[in-house]
Amino acid sequence: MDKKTYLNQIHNYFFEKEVSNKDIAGVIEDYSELYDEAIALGFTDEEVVLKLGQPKDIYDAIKDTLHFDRSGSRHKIVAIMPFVATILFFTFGFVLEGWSYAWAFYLLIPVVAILTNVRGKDKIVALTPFISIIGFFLLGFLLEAWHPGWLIFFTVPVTAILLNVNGKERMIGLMPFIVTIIYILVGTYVTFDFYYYGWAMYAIIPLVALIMHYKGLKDLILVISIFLAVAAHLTLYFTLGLLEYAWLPYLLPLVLGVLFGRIKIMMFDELDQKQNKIGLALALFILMTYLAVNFIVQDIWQWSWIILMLIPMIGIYLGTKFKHPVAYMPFISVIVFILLGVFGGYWEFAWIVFLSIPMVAILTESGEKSKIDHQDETSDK
Amino acid sequence: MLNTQFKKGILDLCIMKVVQDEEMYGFEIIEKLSKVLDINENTIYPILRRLTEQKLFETYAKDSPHGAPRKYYKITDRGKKRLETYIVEWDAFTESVNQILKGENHG
Repeated sequence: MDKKTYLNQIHNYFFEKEVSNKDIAGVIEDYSELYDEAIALGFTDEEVVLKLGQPKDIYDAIKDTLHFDRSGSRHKIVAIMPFVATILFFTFGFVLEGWSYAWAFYLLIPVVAILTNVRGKDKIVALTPFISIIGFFLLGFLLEAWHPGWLIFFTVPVTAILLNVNGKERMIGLMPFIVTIIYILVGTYVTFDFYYYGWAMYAIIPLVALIMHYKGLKDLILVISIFLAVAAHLTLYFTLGLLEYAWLPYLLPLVLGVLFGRIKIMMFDELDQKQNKIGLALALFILMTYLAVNFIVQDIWQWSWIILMLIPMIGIYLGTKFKHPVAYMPFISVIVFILLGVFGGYWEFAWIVFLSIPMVAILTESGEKSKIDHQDETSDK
Repeated sequence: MLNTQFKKGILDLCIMKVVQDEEMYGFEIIEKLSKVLDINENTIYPILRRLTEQKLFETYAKDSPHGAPRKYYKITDRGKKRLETYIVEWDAFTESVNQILKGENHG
């Protein structure tokens, strides 16, 4: 940990505790000086942090000298947003007859709450789902690009990777998204046949990972086997016309990868290996269902992507079960909203489902927070 | 074992005394006291902050050889009066304790 990270952690902790900006600035200034002095005396970053204490310890030690901003402007701004959103919604609906997308103003409620309450990198990551939804609907309504407009949802994991992962792991983490974007865009705009043979390019993902973490002969064999599989795949498709057997060559690198212990299933953070396997299997099943449904039924790109919403919901279920029901709500709201809009044409009313997000949060999370606050108070005594 | 509140009171007294003797910057006070007393470095900053909040200390910035100016602590008149009271109370307290330990005044 360096000085900047340490001071950021203090800043974020105090900000979450609603300490006034003036007091936060004062504490940061003091700790910046203390940090510099300790470094000048020859202490390492780790030793300095140990000496000066963690943000929680600092807060607990000085909280009786702090001033709080509990009735502050950020709460007022968040509290007023439902009214602002409602006014904008009706204005946009009645004046411009834009009922089908006027509901997007309700996204201002969580967006403003994030802007005012979340700090640092987390703010950007927390905002990306909402930016994606707005972008997706703009692409859909204005350009009729529902497909491949759904690719915009990739900004959520891509942003999280860009901001939280460094070095080789960043490139490895980004590869599935880069490959999928290229695969879908080429399949959509260049040639539809690319959907049948272009998935060979997914071989780039393990190739990049193997090259980045090259450990010797076994990896070389794996790399060669992947190239051979791709070559066999393309031969089966183009020369022999055996589309249905095109997947077979990939069994070779798959088996070798398992034998060499180089295939690891890492999908959902914080889950154990068994849960990861279940999550990966279900995610693949959902993805395949989504693709199959779209190939079988024509012109459902506009709404069929809601099937993909099940993937993050499975991740949440495997990780926390129903400990935080509100985590499911953005996905459930979007699914219900789209179904009501597409099949019932109730765009002008369907936005109401988004109100379920803060409602569930209030009903299920406020009790948790009071429990935590109560624990804090008890531990202080 | 002395309780935490009692220790904090003694630390207030020590910090006020060293700052009265010589105006110092935060880390200097921490270094000086943590060498003499068996305390964590991170217990002194909150006391400095509280004493400043109570107007017993005031601070001013002074250039340092490391670049950024340092925040120096200086005892105020109010702080000096409070320190005098603390010292009188401390002397009376230690005298009473010493009398007990030496077996005097046992009735």
